[in-house]
Formats: sequence, structure tokens, C-alpha cells
Amino acid sequence: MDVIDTPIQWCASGPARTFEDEEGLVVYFNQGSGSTHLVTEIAAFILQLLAERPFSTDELLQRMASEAGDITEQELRETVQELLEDLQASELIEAAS
Amino acid sequence: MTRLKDLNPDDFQDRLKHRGLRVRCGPYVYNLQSAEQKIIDGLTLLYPDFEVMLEETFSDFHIAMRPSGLSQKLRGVVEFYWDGRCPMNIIEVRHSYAFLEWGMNWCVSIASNEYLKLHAAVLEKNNKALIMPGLPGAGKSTLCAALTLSGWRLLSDEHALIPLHSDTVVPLCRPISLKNESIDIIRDFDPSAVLSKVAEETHKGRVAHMKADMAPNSHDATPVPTALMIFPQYEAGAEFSLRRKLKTEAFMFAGLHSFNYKLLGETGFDTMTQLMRSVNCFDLRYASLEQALAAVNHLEAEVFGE
Repeated sequence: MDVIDTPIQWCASGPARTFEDEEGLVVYFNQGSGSTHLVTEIAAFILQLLAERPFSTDELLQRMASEAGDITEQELRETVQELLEDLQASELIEAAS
Repeated sequence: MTRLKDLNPDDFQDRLKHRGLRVRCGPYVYNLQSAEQKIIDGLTLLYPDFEVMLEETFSDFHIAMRPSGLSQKLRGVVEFYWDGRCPMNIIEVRHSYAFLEWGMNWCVSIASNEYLKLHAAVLEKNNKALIMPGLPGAGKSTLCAALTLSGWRLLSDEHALIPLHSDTVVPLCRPISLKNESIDIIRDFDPSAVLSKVAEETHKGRVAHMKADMAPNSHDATPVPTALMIFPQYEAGAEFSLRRKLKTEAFMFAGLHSFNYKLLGETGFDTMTQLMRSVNCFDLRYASLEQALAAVNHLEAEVFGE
């Protein structure tokens, strides 16, 4: 039987609350673990999306492309992949089962 | 209301040595017991204006400092008892007063979770509170002492007690702990400052405590609205700087260096959020006390006047 390699679907690891200042950073409180993190606005945006429903990396990139301004597709991909790695390492996101 | 200075010396010593001396500090009552002369002298010097409870009322913290037996008595050491347990190492009698003060702080740090407790000095002017979080060595106690000697009311040298889901702070005024060169800096700053005898060679170096309840309302425990949060950083030779700090960064620093933010879970987050919405935040880097005082007074006029 052939194994079909489906892309990972990411989701937020639990419900969250946030505190925002006027300039670029967001305090993100993970209600499940009780941990608090300081994240960038773009990371907070990704977390918000992933709290609504699971996204693959490509779906996230498509969703964010319209708001990416003048950065290139490659730069956006690298930024998002790096952020996803960081968010996974911080246990704020996980692969949807 | 009876203050410690209203007790006759025999009654004071009898209570302290035998029955327990109940002293009100902000929202708490401490029941203190010790026959050590250092402690009698320290309390006589620094606590005359504190309310004492004459009746056997409820006490939040029962603290005793005494040798556990003849062996300790002969060696000149005592134990710190909290509710009958000894949570600390034995203490040289010559350090007993300094340790009593630390122990009184420690009880609040460990036990009281009806507040969000930030590790910070807190002062008040015009019924608005300034919170100064800081890591050890940041100079917050020295600056706090100088402000207290310059017309500010001390609310606490160690704990910002934030009632849950509020943006106020509850006063817990007690003597200010000064260490090493800070002692002489404050003596030079105001020769009339009342300081305890210096405890030499403690694990934190030289330590003295300063009487800090000089304001007429020093012992009023009514919560005070918060308005300003300053993160002081003393550094010898540093160039002075005063910069607005992002509230998100201030949230993380103050919250994660608090005594119980994590323990309180979502309630801690909610309370920190409410607090941060009420304060303007600044980073203050300074090399001279005069610079720092001028900056804090400038911010007080600017922010509290808003």
C-alpha cells in the first residue's frame, strides 16, 4: 500500500488570552499550561489563526500573503517556518491529530 | 489604637519575651516572640509607631527567635521559628535583628496568595502609587529609602501586594533594608535617618534597616491606585537614561519575577493585565542618587498630573 505524505496541520495547543501594548509585542497566556510568553505581533496572528482551525504551513502562507506587504514569498516562507519552529518548541502549537 | 511606644518598657518586654508581641503591619498581624537584646533594641528603635494589639487577636504570622536549647545558647546562635517550624539555618545572635526582618518578609513571600505579589518597592504620593520592580543589586532599596526621606510615603520595600482583579496596591510599610555601601549613601543623604545597628558579615554583607514610617498615614492600609512603574538600574559610571518601557515587556519582567504570578494562573494574568493598563512604565538607568530622584519626581509630576 502506498503511504501518502500529507502536510502537517498545525493547531494551537490550547485556548489563550492576550495582553497587547501599542507597539508590536503581545503577552500570550496559554490557559491550558498556565505559561506566559512574549511574542511578536506576527506570531500572535499565527496563533490566533491556529486557534480557529488547523492550518498547514502552505495554507498559512497563503492566508498571510495578502498582509505581508513588500516582503518576498521566500522571505515570508522562511519567517513563518522559523516562527512555527519556535512556537512548537515553546509548546504553543502542535501537530493536529 | 495603641502604638508600641505607648507600652511601658516592662510590658513591651514581657509581651515580646513571653506572651508574644502582636504588631500590625499593613494588612497583617505578626506575633513576635524573642528575648534577644538585639531584637528588643531593633523593635524599640524602628517600630515605636506601629500599632500593637493588646488582646489575643488572630495573628497571621507567628515568629519566634530563640535558641533551641542550652547548646545553641552557649554558642550564641538562635533558630527562626515560623508557626513552630524552623525553615532556616541557625542564625548568629549578632545577626538576629536583620534575620527577623528578612523572616518577616519571607513569611509574606511564601504564604500570602490572596494578593498578586510583585518583588518591588512601592511608594505613594498624592494618593497614587509608584511601583519599582528590580533584581537584587538594581538599587531599588537605596532609591526607595531616598524617596522616603524626600516626602514620598513608603508602601513597601519588598512586596507590591496587588489585590486580585484590581489595579491598586495594599500598603505594607516596614523598615527598609539597606546593604553594604547603601548604608553610608543614605547616612550621607540624610544624617537624620534612623538606622538600626549594622549587622556585619551576614550572607548579604553589611545590613542595616531604616525607619520608614515617617508619613502621618504610613500605617493606613487602604489600597492605593497605581499609576507609575519604574524599573531602576543603578550602575557606577553609567550614562543617565530614562526611557518609556513597553507595557508588554514590563508585564513579563514584573510578572515573572513576582512571588506568585505563576501560582495564581489565569487570575495572575488577569490581575497583571489590569495593573499594566493603569501604569505608565519606564526604564531608569543612573549613576547618582540625585539624578534618579530628580527623574522620579519629574515623572511623578508629569504622570500623576495627567
